[in-house]
Amino acid sequence: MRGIIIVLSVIFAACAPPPLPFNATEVTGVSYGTQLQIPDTQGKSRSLADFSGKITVVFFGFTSCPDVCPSTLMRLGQLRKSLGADGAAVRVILVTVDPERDTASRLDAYVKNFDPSFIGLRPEPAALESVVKAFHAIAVKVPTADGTDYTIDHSSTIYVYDQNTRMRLIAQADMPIEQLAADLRRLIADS
Amino acid sequence: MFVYVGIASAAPSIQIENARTRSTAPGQTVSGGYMTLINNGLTADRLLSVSASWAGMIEIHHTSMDGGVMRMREVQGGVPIPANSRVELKPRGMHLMLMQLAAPLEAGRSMPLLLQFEKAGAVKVSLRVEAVGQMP
Ligand SMILES: [Cu+2]
Repeated sequence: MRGIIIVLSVIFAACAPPPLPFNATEVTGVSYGTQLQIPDTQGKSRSLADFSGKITVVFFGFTSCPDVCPSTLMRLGQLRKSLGADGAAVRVILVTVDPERDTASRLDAYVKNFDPSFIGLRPEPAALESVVKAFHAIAVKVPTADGTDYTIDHSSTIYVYDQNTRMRLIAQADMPIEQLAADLRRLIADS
Repeated sequence: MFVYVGIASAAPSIQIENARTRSTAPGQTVSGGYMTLINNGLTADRLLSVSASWAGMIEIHHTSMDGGVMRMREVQGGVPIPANSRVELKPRGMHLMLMQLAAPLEAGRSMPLLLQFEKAGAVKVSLRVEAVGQMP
């Protein structure tokens, strides 16, 4: 009897339509950043495993980034709200690429201005390069025109991990929020 | 004839709409400025520079997002505003880079800004500060 049930379920699985692709790029099997330890704004060393049980959304930025970073963080805040009760299952993390200027308190105030649940991680300046590399990302300082200040070219990719902290999706920063929300709903339902 | 001369010699009239910026958190020293520049005149003009007492440095930047990388660069030679046209400074496009802020920008306030145009000269604008979670 058990054998028949197994055979039937195999046949059933074979007949089921393949799952629709995600709106973002599915990268299941890739494990960027999962080995990292990065201090949070309280100085406590965190790894992605600390956030298991939640869908974790990781994004690089810095507080002196006036355009793309606030625009993306605002949209990620909207994303959590648009998920209703499921929004509580989503954790948004900003990793600063400017630890020299972004003190822990400055970074903390910055992310919480968008959503009190957002978390800022601040690699030590000496560790920044290896953190960025672990995500196959880039962060390059560029001096302003008069040379007295700088901005930072950086990857604007959004990395999504499931509740088991497996990396699942990579999205571009300008992906419409409804599309990303639909993807996250599927990840939440899958677990 | 008089009419012709009158129009041709009139300074291009520059109008600014929807000038806005995002509020900033304590310690944050940079914000982005956005607006619609409208040239109702028959002559092309150009936004050359921007200044304010509350920001140590203001540059005009352009954002690009090629290959998943965010880059900002100064717009060289200012922003051309053709005759009879509208130019948008908007998120993820051209923006004012408001740097070295003297104090946090508080939502609800209005901040004075001075725009310098090639033909229209100095134009005063009031920049509306919007809550950071409200503005895309
Ligand atoms: Cu900029």
